[in-house]
Amino acid sequence: MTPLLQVITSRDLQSLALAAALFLSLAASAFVFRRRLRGLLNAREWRVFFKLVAIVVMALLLVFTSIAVEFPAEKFIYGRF
Amino acid sequence: MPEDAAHDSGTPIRWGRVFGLLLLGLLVVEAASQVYVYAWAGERFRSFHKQTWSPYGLVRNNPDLTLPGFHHNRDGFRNLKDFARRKPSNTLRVIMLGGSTLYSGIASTHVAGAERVDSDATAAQFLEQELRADPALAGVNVEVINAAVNFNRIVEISGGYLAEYAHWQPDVVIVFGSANNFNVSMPERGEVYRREYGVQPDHAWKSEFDRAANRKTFLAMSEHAVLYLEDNLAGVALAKKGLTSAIDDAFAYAQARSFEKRPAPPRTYAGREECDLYVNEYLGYADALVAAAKRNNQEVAFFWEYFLRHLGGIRPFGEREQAVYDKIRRGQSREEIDFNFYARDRLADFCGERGVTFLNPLDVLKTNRETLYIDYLHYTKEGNRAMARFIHEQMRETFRRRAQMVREGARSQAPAASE
Repeated sequence: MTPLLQVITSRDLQSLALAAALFLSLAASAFVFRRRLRGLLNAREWRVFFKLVAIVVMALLLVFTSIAVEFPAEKFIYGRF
Repeated sequence: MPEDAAHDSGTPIRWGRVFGLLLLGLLVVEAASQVYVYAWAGERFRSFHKQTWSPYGLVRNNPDLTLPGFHHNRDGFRNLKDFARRKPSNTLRVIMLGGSTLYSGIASTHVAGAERVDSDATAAQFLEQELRADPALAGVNVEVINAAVNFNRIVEISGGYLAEYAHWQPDVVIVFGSANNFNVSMPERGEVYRREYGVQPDHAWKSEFDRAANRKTFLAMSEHAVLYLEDNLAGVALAKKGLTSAIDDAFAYAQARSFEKRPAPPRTYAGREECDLYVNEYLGYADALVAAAKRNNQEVAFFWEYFLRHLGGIRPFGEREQAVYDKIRRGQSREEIDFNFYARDRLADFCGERGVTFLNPLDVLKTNRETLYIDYLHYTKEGNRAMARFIHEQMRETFRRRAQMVREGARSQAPAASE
């Protein structure tokens, strides 16, 4: 595998650990308060909610993938514009 | 639960609640992203874009970049303090042009424990300290501007100087960036004739510019929407950073594991005539810069950047440098090293002919045993300090002469102002 083009220093790793902790705490609090969350939306509405989120994420993925195909990362050792 | 589902399917979807919750989720994600960026970069989120487009020299550093260590002033210079475009009186101003070596970048394969070099520790800041400490320059204000932009070649440097940097009225112009013109590998046979080596093809960012600015497609419009959002929302900026990294890594992973792998054909290098053609093209740009500088009464110097992998057997590597060298040395041939040194000598001859200073730091690299390299090319903080000291030593007389001219200029202006 070619090396990651993103530079990752130990400071970046610390911040990634913080991001993981933030994500886990969000997931944990969602689990703890799941009854309240069910009170906010019903199961069908939650499915619609996550479908909308997925559409946005997939649209972003499509845009970035089409750029990555045409403009390979090896050409941009200091990052794409 | 099935009863709940059956019950739910009978009730209409409360769209207001769904979109309200989406908005709330966006706000929570944005707040968390802002906290994350602050913890990571030590400042409020502004932008992750490293560059902004420029009609002269393709790009400039983005003044709003938010990244640990890499700070740009309001004009995009790699300085913490701002400068007035019009040089203040009684000021010796040095402007340093170049690419990532002067910018003090860092590559993915770096020495153990390295962090990004801060904007108060590039060669420019250390040179300013050296000049301020020089007793012969007492009484003169000193400004050293670091106008480096990553990946700048002589095409971008020369164009940027002619159109903009010359008008910052520097007394001395120091040109770095040789490594972006004379790569770690030398041209293969026919590569120069096909205009595919070094400075000859378009810069990779130019095609990005064409896509972003000139294309009128749905994809271009979508990208613009993302560009707008990511400069205003830390959550979107982080999502883009994460997604593009994941996509690039997925492509690299797939390529590395593709079934159809052909061994690279043996390299056949360009002959001397073809190499000379390329070096002459480079020197044409250098010539334009020198001619304009002379016309502007500015002194010029060219600094040569050595690749770490070219210094095996020349530089006494420290343990951390040796580890990087061992990782990247594979496939380096003697011809490539010889070409790089040949290009250096041609540039030195050019400087001699034009009466400008050539800065060859080889002696520093041979004798200094500190960890000067942070990766295959760029310098550590200690490396920047050593190079600044070297530049000061080599150009001491130039700086003193220019300081004297500055003093005389200030004296001649003073009576005129009092009248």
